[in-house]
Amino acid sequence: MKLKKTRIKKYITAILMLSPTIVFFILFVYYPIVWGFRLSFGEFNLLSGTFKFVGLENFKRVIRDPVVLSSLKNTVTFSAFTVILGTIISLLLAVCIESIPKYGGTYKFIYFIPVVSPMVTVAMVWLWLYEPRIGYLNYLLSLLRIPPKQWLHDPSLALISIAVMSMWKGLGFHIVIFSAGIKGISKEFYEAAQIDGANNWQLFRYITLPLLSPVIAFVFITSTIGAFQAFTQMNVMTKGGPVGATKTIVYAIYEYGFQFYRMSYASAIAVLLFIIIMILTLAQLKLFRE
Amino acid sequence: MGRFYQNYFNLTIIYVILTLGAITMVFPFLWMISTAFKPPSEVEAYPPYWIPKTPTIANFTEVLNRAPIHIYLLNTLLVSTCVTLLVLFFCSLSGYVFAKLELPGKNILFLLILGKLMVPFQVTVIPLYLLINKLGLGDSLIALILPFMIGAFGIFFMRQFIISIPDELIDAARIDGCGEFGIYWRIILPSIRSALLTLAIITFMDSWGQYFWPLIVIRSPSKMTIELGLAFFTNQYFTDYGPMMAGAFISLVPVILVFIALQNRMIESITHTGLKG
Repeated sequence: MKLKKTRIKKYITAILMLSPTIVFFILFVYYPIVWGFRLSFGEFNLLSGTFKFVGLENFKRVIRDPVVLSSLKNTVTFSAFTVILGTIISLLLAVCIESIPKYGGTYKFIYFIPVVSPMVTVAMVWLWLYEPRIGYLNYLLSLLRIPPKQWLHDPSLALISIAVMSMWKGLGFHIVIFSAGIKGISKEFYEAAQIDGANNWQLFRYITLPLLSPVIAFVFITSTIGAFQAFTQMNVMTKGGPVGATKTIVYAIYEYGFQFYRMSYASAIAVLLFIIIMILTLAQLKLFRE
Repeated sequence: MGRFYQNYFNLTIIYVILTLGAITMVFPFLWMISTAFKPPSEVEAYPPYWIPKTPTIANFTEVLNRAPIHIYLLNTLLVSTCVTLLVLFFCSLSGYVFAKLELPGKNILFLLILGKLMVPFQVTVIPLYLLINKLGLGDSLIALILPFMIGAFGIFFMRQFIISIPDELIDAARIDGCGEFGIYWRIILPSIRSALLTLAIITFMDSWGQYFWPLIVIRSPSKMTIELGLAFFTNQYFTDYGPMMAGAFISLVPVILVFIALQNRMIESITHTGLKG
């Protein structure tokens, strides 16, 4: 009897210590998730606070909405560019850093500066670099006798310009992850291969790359998921323009939800984003497991 | 150390590649600093040059005149500090329960908490916005703190570290008549100091750089964070690159100072936890 009592007392203590977390997760995580899904199946009027169930109506409209479709296309282009190119370049630089006898730490520190810098600040700095008339990048092009580019004002160039900046900002993060991965590979593999006469490319191709594949998978997944949520740099640098060329999915959610106040419609887009990110995560995990 | 390529690759080429990369990393910031200290006529000068002929702090006074940068900084400092302290306290407390205390169904509870990591913030942002307004907290600093005061990752992270603390240590304290909270406070917290610092760094950095949520909930300039305030300023004066770079410079100084002070510690924290995706 007494044993049971002390046990119950133990449970109560545990529950008490956990109660702020439980309340928080119900109120700020699960309630909004459920509410978000519910919103997407209805029509919510912000002014009157009334809610009417409309079934799949929002989704039917969302998948035909040219703004949503083009934002989806922009997001995919942006993500493909930043993730693929970013992974290749950071892998290359990580291999370089791990090959040098000295100053590896200094390089990591320098490459990490953009990672710790806030996105808004970085976006402002690049806005100035991309300035079409007197900006530094066009000046550099002029030294090479290349005519100036309208980096952020040209619809066919704006998204790539932002993607380049975003890739630049994330490089250091991936470099440090890759170089930790490379450090983890046993030196004996390389020594054995070198005795067998393997060249640099073969060392990279048959030892580094396969042994690093779990790390590459991790970088791919996290950076794709991150890229699919891109918003800040577009909001600061182009406001989604010119003519919607840099509007991403999250930008569409922001615009419909918080500029046009169509909460239900925006929720449907958010649910779409949720599904896409789920599928991406599962697909990539599967791909790299094989 | 994997210095395996050393004898094979030409070291000079590697150093050249790495140095070119490093220049690409810092030159936008150096150009920002150069511009921030130039008078308007020199900012507009073409072809551009690096060293200001008549260095001036006019851009800094200009940006402070047009936007209350000091208030933005104070707000950001306040919000980030509160978020960090709350996260440290609640995540370690919950982590202790999940790691060491008995409670039926606690594993299911733990999985439900981890489930949050699968849901992007943008998916819950609309209901969260409606909720915050319903609570009457719209356009307040509390709105910036509340939704981030406990994190799923933080709980997971704390649990991993607390689990490795030997049970004997905790049992001994119990026999000495220490309550569970006392154990948490006097035994658990001191033994996970290093993990707490890691969590503090990433939480603070993350909170400092927040943009999407403040953009949605904050309306009045007196409540703006530095990132939001600067974006606001950029929208208004998008051709005034001198003051803009001065503003960017001000917002970057605290971040870079912290980075220089903590260096490897910070690189480790951010990469180990995979926070910046």
